[in-house]
Amino acid sequence: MNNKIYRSFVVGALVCLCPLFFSSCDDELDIVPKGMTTLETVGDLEALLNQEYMLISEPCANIGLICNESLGMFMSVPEVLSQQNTIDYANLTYDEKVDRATLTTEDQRYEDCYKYINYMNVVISKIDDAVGENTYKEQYKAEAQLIRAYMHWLLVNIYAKQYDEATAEQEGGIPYVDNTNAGEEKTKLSLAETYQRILEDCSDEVIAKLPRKNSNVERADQALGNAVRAKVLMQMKRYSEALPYAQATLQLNNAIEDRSTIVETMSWSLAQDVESNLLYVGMGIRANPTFEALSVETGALFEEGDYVINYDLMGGWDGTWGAMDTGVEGALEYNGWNTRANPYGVVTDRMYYVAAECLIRTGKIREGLQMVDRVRAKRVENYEPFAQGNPSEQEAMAMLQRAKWIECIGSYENFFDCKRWNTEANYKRTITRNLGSYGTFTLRPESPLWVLPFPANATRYNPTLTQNY
Amino acid sequence: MKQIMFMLSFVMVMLFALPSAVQAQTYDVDYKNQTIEQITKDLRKQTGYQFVYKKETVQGVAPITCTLKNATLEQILNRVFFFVGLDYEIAKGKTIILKKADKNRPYFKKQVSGLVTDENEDPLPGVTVMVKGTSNGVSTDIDGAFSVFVEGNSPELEFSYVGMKSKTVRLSPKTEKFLMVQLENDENILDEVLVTGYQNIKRENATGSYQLITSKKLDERHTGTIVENLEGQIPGLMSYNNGLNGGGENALTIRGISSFQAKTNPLVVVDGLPIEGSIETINPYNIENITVLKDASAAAIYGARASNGVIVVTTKRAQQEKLEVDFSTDITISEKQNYDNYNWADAAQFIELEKYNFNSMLAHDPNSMESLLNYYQTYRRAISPVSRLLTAKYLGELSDSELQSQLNRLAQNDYRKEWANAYDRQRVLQQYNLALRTRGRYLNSSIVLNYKGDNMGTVKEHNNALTFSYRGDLDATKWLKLSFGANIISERGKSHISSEVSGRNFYAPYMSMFNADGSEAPMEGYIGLYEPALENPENGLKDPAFYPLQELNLNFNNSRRTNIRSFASATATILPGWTASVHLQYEDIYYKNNGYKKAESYDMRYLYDLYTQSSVEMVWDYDPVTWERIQVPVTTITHHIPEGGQLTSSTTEGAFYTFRAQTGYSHEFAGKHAVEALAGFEFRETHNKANTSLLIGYDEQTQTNRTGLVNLGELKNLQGQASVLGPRYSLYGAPDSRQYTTSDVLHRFYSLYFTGNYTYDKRYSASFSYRVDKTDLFGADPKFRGRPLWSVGASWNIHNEDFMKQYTWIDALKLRASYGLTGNIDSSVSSYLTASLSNESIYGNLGASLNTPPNDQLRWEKTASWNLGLDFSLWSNRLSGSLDYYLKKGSDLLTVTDLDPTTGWKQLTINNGKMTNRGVELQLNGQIVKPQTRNSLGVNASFNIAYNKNEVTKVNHEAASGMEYLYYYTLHKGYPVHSLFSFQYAGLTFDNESHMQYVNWRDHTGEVHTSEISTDDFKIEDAVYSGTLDPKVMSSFTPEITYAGFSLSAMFSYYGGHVMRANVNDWNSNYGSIYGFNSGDVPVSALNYWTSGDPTQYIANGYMGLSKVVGYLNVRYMDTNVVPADYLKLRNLVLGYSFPSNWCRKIGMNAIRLRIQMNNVATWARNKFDIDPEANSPLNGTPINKTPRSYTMSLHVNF
Repeated sequence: MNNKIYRSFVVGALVCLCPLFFSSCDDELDIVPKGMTTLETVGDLEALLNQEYMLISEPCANIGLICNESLGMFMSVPEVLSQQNTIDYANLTYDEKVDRATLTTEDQRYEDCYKYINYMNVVISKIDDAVGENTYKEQYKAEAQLIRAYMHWLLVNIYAKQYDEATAEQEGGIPYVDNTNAGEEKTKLSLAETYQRILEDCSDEVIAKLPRKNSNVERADQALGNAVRAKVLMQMKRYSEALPYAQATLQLNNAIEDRSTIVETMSWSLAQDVESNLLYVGMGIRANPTFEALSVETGALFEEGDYVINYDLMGGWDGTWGAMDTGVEGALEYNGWNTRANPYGVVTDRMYYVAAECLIRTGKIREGLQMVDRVRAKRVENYEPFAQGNPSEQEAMAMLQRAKWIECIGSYENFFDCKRWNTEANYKRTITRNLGSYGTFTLRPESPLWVLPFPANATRYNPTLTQNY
Repeated sequence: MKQIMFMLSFVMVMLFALPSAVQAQTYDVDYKNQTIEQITKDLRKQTGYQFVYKKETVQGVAPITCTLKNATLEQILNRVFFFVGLDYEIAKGKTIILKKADKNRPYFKKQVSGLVTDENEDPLPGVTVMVKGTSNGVSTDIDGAFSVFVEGNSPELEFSYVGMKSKTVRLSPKTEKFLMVQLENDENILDEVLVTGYQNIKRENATGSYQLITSKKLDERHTGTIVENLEGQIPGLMSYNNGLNGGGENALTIRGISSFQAKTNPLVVVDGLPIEGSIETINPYNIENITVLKDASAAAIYGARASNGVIVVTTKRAQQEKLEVDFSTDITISEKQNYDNYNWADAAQFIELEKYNFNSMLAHDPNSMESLLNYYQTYRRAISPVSRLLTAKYLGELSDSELQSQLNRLAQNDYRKEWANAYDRQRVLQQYNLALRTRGRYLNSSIVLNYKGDNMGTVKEHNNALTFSYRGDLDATKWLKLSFGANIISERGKSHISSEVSGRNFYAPYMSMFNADGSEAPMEGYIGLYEPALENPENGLKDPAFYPLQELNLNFNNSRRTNIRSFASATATILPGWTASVHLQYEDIYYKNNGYKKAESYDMRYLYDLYTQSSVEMVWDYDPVTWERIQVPVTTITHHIPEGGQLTSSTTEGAFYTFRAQTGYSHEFAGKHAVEALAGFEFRETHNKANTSLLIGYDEQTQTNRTGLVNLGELKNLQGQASVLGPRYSLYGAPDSRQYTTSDVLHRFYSLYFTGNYTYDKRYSASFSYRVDKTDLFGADPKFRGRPLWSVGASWNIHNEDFMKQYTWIDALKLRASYGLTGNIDSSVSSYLTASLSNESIYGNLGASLNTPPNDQLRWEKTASWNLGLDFSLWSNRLSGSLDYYLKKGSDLLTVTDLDPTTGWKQLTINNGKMTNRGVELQLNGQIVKPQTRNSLGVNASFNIAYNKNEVTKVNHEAASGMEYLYYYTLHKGYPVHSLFSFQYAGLTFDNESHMQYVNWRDHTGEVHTSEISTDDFKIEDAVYSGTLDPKVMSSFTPEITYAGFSLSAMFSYYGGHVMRANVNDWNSNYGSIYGFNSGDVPVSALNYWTSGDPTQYIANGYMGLSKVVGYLNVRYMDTNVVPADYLKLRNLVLGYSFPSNWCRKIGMNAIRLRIQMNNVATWARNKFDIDPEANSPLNGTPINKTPRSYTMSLHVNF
């Protein structure tokens, strides 16, 4: 009997201990999953800065189509014309009556830009308390701020009107997101406020904290910092203020892609990590301008000695494919797979044009055209320099515009430029798109089409997101 | 086949070569009103025994009627003389002395022996024989015999056996020494013992919805897998391939689908502990019974993993004290697929199509024609062989008659048939199982060996598995029981590494693998055999041709799986009725796959050739004549991929621990109050690891590889560049760094549980259970780590009420009701802000991407279930069954919720969805004709039907477009979770001017549109509901006839109330192109467009298909192609025979059973296309392989 009592005592005690054991188990449940991080260390936060940035939608699919750089990608003109209630129809025929806001249910580019902004906000909000060396904390924070500024700048130029000092206070901008609270409503700011915040995030102070030069196309350095500030200021039409930043960029990195090599290689080859890329921001397909079909008007702008059009036989600008895909005779389409032109990023070649325009617009016309020529020298065989004679500002600009248009194929730049110039009396222009038998369409400078609608999956949850057109 | 024959003959030898055990001789007697004289005469003749008796002894003895078969002399004597009051004595010299029994002997005192049999007169071992009112008793031995000393005034012997009605025999002096006792089956369902995994409870006391399948039921037919065997056995348990979860175990559900994104298949428990390996790792021959826990009262004890129901498997244990050997073999041979449901066009029809396409293009589409001619010059490979001939003829390179004779020759070919002859073979699945079980005084042991061989129905492939399991139960002391065991599976498989070019339909059917002389022909794969680069030996290219028959022997996946499950448990009885136990289980699952592509295989040769580039460099040299320095071009050939094969290895390892400690109390007070209670603690850890890697330039023979010579980063940069083969061949498909991966996932779970049951007077029962589960999954806030889940239930045994006593035809009637909460979890979500780490692709630096937004509100999914049930058994168990109604409301279901993407997050997974399942289940078992003996007719049947209605009642994500609304994964509030939505098809229109064909659709206002439904033109309100993919009704009917050891049974299953897309292939327009028809999977219906000449009736294909049809991309969503998916299948027809037990015993066996079975015998389907829903992909509406008819031969031996 004693044995029994003893037994029951031992087992009973063990049973009573179980709940205690249970409550002490909680620590065992704090498992940090492998292959993941909860972002508590400086190193892990730095990993958030190492991004192969990618905004899924191709510029030519909409903004390139609107400014008549292109006829989109795999877009059959007769097919689009057969359906009048679509975004493509509105963008192709410049029909302002189409209800674009309703039709834009989602927008991948919008989502991706804000996704990266959120990444940057995670870095900024966590870096101060992060475990690890303090040496790089300020630098990483500055890098994140700069990328945050750049992404917002892309957004504001796509989803809001062109900045104009006179009206910027009244016109709508975009939400400037600076925290990681997903539950908080992201309030839309005015255009002036938006630019104000962008400028704050790429201020001299921020740029100073960046490494001088890092030759990493994913990470910000001072060359990129200056470039972003130059672009922002130029887009605000503050040309004289933009100029020193553009020049500072080129002092740090003056690389120009040399296309004369195509003569030998027969193939336009451009990698993501070339020296002239300050920041690489890609799109859905890796190769660019692959499969972009140019408008007939763009095709006519190539200079005679253009290396790509004359020597790139492997991918090349091809009329047969263009006509087959678009249904429009004379539409050139690029089919090469070796080219990774930088669709949404920052490139030194194009910074020459920023510097050039700032120079021209501030009276240094010849200096500006020399800047353009430095790039053209590597684009056009036996090029004839622009920097000759004594052209007027407008004449010089016309030359710059034509060369830059071809230079920037496949990127956002032509759309941004058109928007800016459209608010300047000397440069505003009605775009005419001739589609041969399918008709001719015109886009006026004031058209609401220059502002893309906020997607419905954002406006549905965010009442402050009223459309900016 | 050889192997099977060998195994069969082995079995036969085992059967007959065994020495027949010497048994007592038996006799048959059949007496009708015969006198003692007649009987003794007959017995003397049969047995050779002399009978000695006084004449007066037999005077006045009544005539005797008695029939006995295979009885021993002793049995006959007992039976014959007992009834007439005679006693006998067997004397020496084969003499039997008869005398009158002493009637007046008042006190009984003798050794009683006897034989206990079942209704089939088979001996019953292990029957408890007790002298009533004493603790004196024995069990019957392996032959059903017993011997017990009985003493007392009119003593009674009580015979009891699980599953049999107990029987009491009063002993009187008249009683002979030898008793023949027959026990009847007791099918009173309330006596069933239900195994919940935590405890065993009698159905009479249970309040939940349980369903029990015994091994006898599972043995009635053979199926390849346990899941197949469960089909139709339990109403509400279903495995239906709706095109989303695959088939088999993955598609297994109980009472509908109860989660959007977490697991939906039930938890599997073996011998008390949940297992991580699949249900298929359980040896089907070793299953004693399966209990399915359906409602919350039954399953809530499993807490957070019980929302999908629980399947509890109990393995077999020894029943007898001698060594029992069970041997079974099942061999299943399947018919070959004939693919007729694909309706593919044959060679002649293909050529017909090609001609129509070419001629029409020539007449109507000069642009495309130009492109064709361009390709003919530059990239002929893209053009189908017949189109090449037609083009050659058009260009004048071929005469009319040459073309005709070539086409005639091609029309004779049948590539698909050649392919099938080379690759397909009859599928043979063999299973052998040997079980050795013994119950000793202290140790009860089972050893089971199982071998499964499957030739996969494909040449050179196999999948074989060997299973070994041991289970021991040890009575260590009077109060301590231990059990321990292991189950080890070793599986090896070999299969072809599938590649596009070696597929059945890569080539058009008019192609042939053979030259005219019967030798193997080189076939054009991805590289045109005419390419000039191939001719240049400096390029160093390998043979670019594909040889289907050689390829058959080259590239294989060799896989190996080891699954070890070991367990140990100890149960201590502390006080009577109070026990404590601990259980420990460890599972180790290891899987390795090696995919080896040999250097000489097509894939490797192709990659080698493709990744060859040539470059021209100018180098300085001296002119041989003038000796001046000049620049000369030098061509360099670079092979970017080294020679040799490739070896891809992947391994996954899983280690899973379960520990459980619990204590239970069971007691009956004052005869009326029965209490059972259980409380415990459980810990589980799951740890999964995986890695993959690749060796490049690998050679198995020399054991060398050239991986170190390859720069993967460089290979990636080459992607898209042109090969030496020409500008149309861009570099693609080289190995890349994504083929090297690792992963490591660890989870832990802690649980506390309690369950209690109280029964009053065998009439009223109440039960309660409670469980808290905690896990790491939810991270941050401990508040949400554990969530109490509980259930309550009550039942009423109406038949035990006094007022029911008058209804003698009611054996059992029980009403049950329960309510409870169960849970479910998706381990992919976290409440932390986490980021995944990987190397970004430009520099290979460590990069991070954010996974999900932090959500500190994350918690278990919760399912609240109501269940109302009735169990009944009527007319002496002639009809029994149960009826259940349930309502399952899932809430807090993890669902994707939209966020304003401005926050940086588009979606968030939160506990916010709701879904309801409600349904009725009926199970009926009928014993229509009850066999009295083995040789009389028996008819029984079981029928069950389950109806389930599923509805999504809350969902946060709104489809962004009409198109998204059509996707199968979009949740539609107010509709079943797997709803099919379609557009209203409104005919085809054709624009004569542009030659464009439009697939029209009708919007909700009735207006007809011609746009693609993927455009914004198609709105959510234009989509129409077509039905659900999941059957609403599942029913099965299993009739059985038995006679003289034979049994004939059938199993019908019916699935209904759901829909499927079908016939979509007839509406596809993407067959062929301007370059002709290259691949072979074109249905014959593609000809309709061309033969009818009516573009408003049939959708175009060929050169028209891709560029001239608006709407072709989404024809699968046409409402007109949605049809009812109801069908009835005669799943199997089984003829079995059990040899008579005495016959078996003669050759030293206990039982021998033979069975022949035919599977998938016939199908009735309710749809206008006459498509078997099992041979159709319900989501895509395209044919899939039919479930083949198969034949199974089975043998079971027990000795």
